[in-house]
Amino acid sequence: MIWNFSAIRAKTFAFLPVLEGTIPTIKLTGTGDAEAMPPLDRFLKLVHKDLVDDRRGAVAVDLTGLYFINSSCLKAFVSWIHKVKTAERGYQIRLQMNPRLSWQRRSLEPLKRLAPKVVVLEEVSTPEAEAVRPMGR
Amino acid sequence: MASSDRQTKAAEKKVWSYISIEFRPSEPLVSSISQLVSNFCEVGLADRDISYRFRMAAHELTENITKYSTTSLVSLEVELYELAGVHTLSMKTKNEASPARLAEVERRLKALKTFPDPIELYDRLIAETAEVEGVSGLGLARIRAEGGLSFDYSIDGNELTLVVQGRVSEPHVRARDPS
Repeated sequence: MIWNFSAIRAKTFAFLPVLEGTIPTIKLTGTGDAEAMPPLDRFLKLVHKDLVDDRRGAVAVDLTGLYFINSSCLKAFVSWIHKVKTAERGYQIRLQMNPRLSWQRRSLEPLKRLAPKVVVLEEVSTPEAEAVRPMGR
Repeated sequence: MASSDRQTKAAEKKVWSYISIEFRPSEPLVSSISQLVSNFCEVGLADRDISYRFRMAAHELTENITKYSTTSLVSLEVELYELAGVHTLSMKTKNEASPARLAEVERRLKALKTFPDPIELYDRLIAETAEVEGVSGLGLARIRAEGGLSFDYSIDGNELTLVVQGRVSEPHVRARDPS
């Protein structure tokens, strides 16, 4: 098992290590607001450590249940991506978007532009993603 | 322009819907206020995308107010109006801040208003702040680049007024025709 940390859960968000799948995966759900920023920052640092320690080439970030992200939480992603981009041994970050949440592409495209060789944007259609209310909380 | 002409011009503005709230800046309120703005947009417009853009803008502005306001009461107004056949959604926030903060925010706002390509400016800010831990400093640039919204500002004494606007499609039937 690659992940050596636990899920972080709060009333309005959850950050989860996913234990199945072909590549290491994490899942972020709920609302990424000011309350979520400090735990998200910590969570992404733990993710980075495990990926580097395990010499992995890629990670999938399931964002299909993420309803909103503020600029502080986006900044946590910016710091993470910058760290991977400038690392001696980097890895690919596959940001999985929900096609029903059209804002996600607009919010995440700047991250792709920041590090085109590191960030991959991909739309994922799953029954769970389909059930998401476009403007839900 | 004669006074009667100005009155005629003013009468052409049709307000479809409007909300105004005053609140004590508080972090737990930020998401509720941005959700309220989103709901307001959904009542008047059959356009989820514009609702999201304004929700994002409301969130970023309210978060800034909460961080930097020096008074216990701040305000936010949202208005859906029609002028000369053009429908516009407008959001205005007012708060007081310290002279140092006002000088800093004015520097950023000037750059945002004058830089020709908002996306290029946003990308540049992201790259510049990538190594900086903590505060993002991206919120206002995000409103213009990602939200595609225009904005204006004024500073009167210690009071900062920010206006964010976007052109929208014709309101749907759930909004009452103001005529």
